[in-house]
Amino acid sequence: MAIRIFVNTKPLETEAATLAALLEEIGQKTDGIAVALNRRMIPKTEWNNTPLTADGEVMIIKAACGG
Amino acid sequence: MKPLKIGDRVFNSRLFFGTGKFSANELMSAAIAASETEMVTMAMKRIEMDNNAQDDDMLRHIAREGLQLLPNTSGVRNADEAIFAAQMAREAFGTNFLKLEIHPDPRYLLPDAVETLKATEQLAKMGFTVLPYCPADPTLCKHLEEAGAAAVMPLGAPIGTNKGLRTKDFLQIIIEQANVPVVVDAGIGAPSHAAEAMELGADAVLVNTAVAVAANPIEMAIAFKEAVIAGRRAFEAGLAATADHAVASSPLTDWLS
Repeated sequence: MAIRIFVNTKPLETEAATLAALLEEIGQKTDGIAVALNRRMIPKTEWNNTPLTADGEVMIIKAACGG
Repeated sequence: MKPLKIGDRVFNSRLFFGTGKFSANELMSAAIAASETEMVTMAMKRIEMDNNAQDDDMLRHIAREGLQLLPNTSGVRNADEAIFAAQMAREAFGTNFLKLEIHPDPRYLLPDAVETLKATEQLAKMGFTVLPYCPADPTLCKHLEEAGAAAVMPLGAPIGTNKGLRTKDFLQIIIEQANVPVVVDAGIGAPSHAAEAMELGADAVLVNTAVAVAANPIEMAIAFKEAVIAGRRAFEAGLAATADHAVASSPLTDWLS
């Protein structure tokens, strides 16, 4: 069953049950990024067993230029 | 010149480099190579869901063997946000090195001493190699050192102002008292400012805007590299003392009379 979550503040309907499945669903490459769920950093090793729930807020970051 | 040790890393170059404000990633990459820097700072951003595939990954342009990444916490407003940002950075970039910067005021971007100290203490306990960007306050720098900072990064002048070492008298005290490396960060707008900091005994300088917005960033990167080497060499050689009256450098024998 699809649930609505937010990815970088954008609403998204997803069938993905876990963080790992979500990243695959949106075609996100997994190196050089970090992921947080509801403001908590989730290490890559836990993506597979981190379930998504309705209204969950996923944050995905990558490198940016800066001083 | 003596190498510089910060955390578990040894650096032969005492010029650290920021990656902001370059007009193109290729130019940034060439300037970094020309500078011979061994540590560069970078920031983090949220992936844009609509535009991610087109977005050029800046990491691709700075990746070089032996180059230490120094992710920063730019954008955070307090210690709690800084700790979250630090965890994200360590996960994304696989390094414990962290430039801790907490500057809630967008007009002057001055670092928040209280939150910076609080965050340094916690992040050091979490195993981060913390390099806090901080006010040029000698007492604060000692507190940061005691809290576990791997180096301190006092400012010369507000970020991006290119005004040079407006805090020189305080930097001198910080350098005199420090038991960790002192990296002068922010405000360095010309190679002469970098040389001045190194002559004072700073262990390194961090430069960004002055190179990134120069008419020729690659040439400017080389100029900074040379200035940092010259300043450090002068410091290690031992600068001559100043005097209020003339001190003759030629013999004053009266051979004409």
